[in-house]
Order: sequence, then structure tokens, then C-alpha cells
Amino acid sequence: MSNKNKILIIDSTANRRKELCKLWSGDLGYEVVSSGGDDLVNFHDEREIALQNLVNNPPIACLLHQNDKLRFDDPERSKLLEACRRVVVFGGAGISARGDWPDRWSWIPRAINGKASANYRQWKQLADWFSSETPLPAAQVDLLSRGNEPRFLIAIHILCQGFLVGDRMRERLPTAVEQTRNRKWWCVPLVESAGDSLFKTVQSEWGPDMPDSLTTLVKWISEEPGYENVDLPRIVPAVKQEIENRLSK
Amino acid sequence: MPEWNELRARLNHDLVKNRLLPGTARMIRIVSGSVLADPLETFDCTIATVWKETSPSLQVLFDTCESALSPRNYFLVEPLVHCPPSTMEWLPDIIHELWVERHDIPGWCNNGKLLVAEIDTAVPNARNLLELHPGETQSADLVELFLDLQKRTTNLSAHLSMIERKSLL
Repeated sequence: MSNKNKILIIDSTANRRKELCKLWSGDLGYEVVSSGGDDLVNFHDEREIALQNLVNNPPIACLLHQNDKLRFDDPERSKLLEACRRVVVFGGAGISARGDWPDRWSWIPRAINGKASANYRQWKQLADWFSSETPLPAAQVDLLSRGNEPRFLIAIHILCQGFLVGDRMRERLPTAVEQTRNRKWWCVPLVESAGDSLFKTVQSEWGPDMPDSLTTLVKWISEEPGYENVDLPRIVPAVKQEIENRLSK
Repeated sequence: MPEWNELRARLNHDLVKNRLLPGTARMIRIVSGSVLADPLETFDCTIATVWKETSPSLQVLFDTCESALSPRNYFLVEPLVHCPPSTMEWLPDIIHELWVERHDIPGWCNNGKLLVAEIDTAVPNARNLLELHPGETQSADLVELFLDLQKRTTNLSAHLSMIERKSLL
């Protein structure tokens, strides 16, 4: 069995562990080994896994709740964490505080639920960072750099502003209006970054009840069937306003 | 941007709200005679040393605000880092101009610096007055002076909190 895309998730809080395991085994496509601290279980079929087997065939990454680190301090069990290529500790109340961990370990302030929770795009980026042979520097990984801004919403807001000031730019840059009326204006940065997951990414940053104007714009950018023609001069001011309202909450 | 906000939050929460404001409140109680303690010694411990630590950091905070918070920084990271050169040529600059106009960031920084300068002056003045009246309590002048320092410190804290509520867009 390949070690590629296998992750160990250690969290003694059962509900949160289940949520994380579902996310990593479902949307992120990893093979997940789950642990409440003592046990080691294959999340998919609930089969128990022997510690030594996992040490011999280790996951590429481990997500470990900071309160459960003690359970892996003994020499035998700590070998498992040493065998993982990357270890990311999560948890805490959002106060930045690195614990007494090996330098190669990373830390994120809060993983799931509550203020400053990670969104899908951030998890996806972390998943890619785990599996990549040539990963980005950790500082460029949102979760590891503690960045949790809704960057896609902000980017769309900025592109909306560019669209709306195109006229004002006419004297400085005659092509500004033409640039902003083109679909490339929107899709080059957004799709380049999010790929096929643009709508899902924006939706995860927005949360429930995404407004029609933003839905329409993003589906048009993503070239979804049925959204070939949109009235940009009508929709862009509405999207800009909706994002302003959302982010100022 | 997160680093700047962390510094702002730390200065406001840890130093201004949790040390300077309680320090001025304690000094008011001492110079009004309701608490027995050495005024000068307490002042040095609770206000002078804390302000000496806080003031230069606040100066840096206000000096770096515009560059640290500018939406221009979003063009250095995903997803706007992928904008083509034809967009990069003008969009970051116009977005920065619009943001500065909308939020009057230079005004916020200048007001912050003025508040710091006021406290920079008030702290040594307060110390001089305490030295002139060693061990004096129940002094109306000193009570007035520390009420004024408390007000200025409260204003500084409110000012530091204000940027948090400002939309970063």
C-alpha cells in the first residue's frame, strides 16, 4: 500500500475528530488514520492498526491536537510522529503560542469550528503542501502563516473596484475599461489560483446564504453552463456592496 | 497585515488597557488618599516604565500603518498575485489610492501620533510634579493631573480600537 496521501489525525475530542476525518477522507481525498489518543483506527473501515505497522508504513502527515501531544510522548509512540513527514499541531483559543515541539513541526491556531476556523481552500492548500514533493515555503501556506482572511472575497471586491473605476482611469490608461469588461479580467487571477474549486472556495469563505449577485458572477467567471451572459454593469456594484456588508460584520 | 494587527492588538490590550489604564486608576486612588502607597514609586512601576516600553512601538505602529494595511499587499499573495502585468500596471496603485481616500489612513496615523505625543509630554510632567510633592496625598492638582492622563490613555486605546472596526477593504 502506498504512503502517498495518508494522514494521521489525533484528537481526543470525538466530534471534532470525526469532522476532520470526514473532511480529509472525503473532499481532500486522503486515506485517514484516526486516533483519539490511545487507539489507531482506519477511518474508512474502522479497522484497528498496530502501532508498529504504522511506524513501518507511516502517513505523510499528522494533524495533532495540542492537548493530545502528551499521549504520544512515550518513546514507542513518539516514533510514529517522527516517522511522519510533516506534523501540524492545531487547537487553542486563537492566542498565538507555539508549544515545546520539534522545530520541524508546524502549528495552526484553530482547526475547525468557531472564530478563525480554517476554510476549504485553506485545507486544500495544506493538503497540497503535505503531498507535494516540492512544497511552497510554509510562510506561503495560509494556515501555517496564520492567515485566515477571506482572500477570494477580497480579491473579487478589488476586481469589482477596478471594473467600476475603469472610466476614471481612461486618461491614465486608455485600455482600462476594455480590460475590465473582459472575462479574463476576473478569471485569470481567480481560476489560476482556485482551479475548478473557485465556486466552492468563494462559498466557503462566504458561509451560508451567498447572495445571487455573487453566485452569478462567480459562476460566470467559472464558465458554468447557463451563465454565459451576465449584465456586468448591473451586477458588479451589487457584488461589491454585498462583500463590503459581509466583511464589515 | 496579520503581524501589524497583532502588534496593534497586543499594544492596545496588553500595555494600554491592561497596564497603563489600571496604572492611572491606581495613581488616582493614591493621590486622592483612598489607597496608601508611595506615589512616585508606584508611578515609576505602573506608568513610567510601561510607557517607556510602549511609546516607541506605538510610533512604529503608526509609521508603518499605511504600508502594512494597504490593499496593495493583496497583489503579493494568492489569488491576485496571478493578475497579468497589464493589470498590475495600474490596479494596485488605484486600489491603494481609493483605500487611502476612503478611510483617511494618514489622518488616523497622524491623530495616533498626536495622542502618543500628548502622553509623551504628560508622563514626565506628572513625574516632575510628584517629585515636587514627595509623598503627598489628597492633592487636588495631582488628582486632576492623573484624571487627565487617564483620559488621554483612554483616548489612545479608543483610537487603537478604531482601526479594528474600520473595513480593511
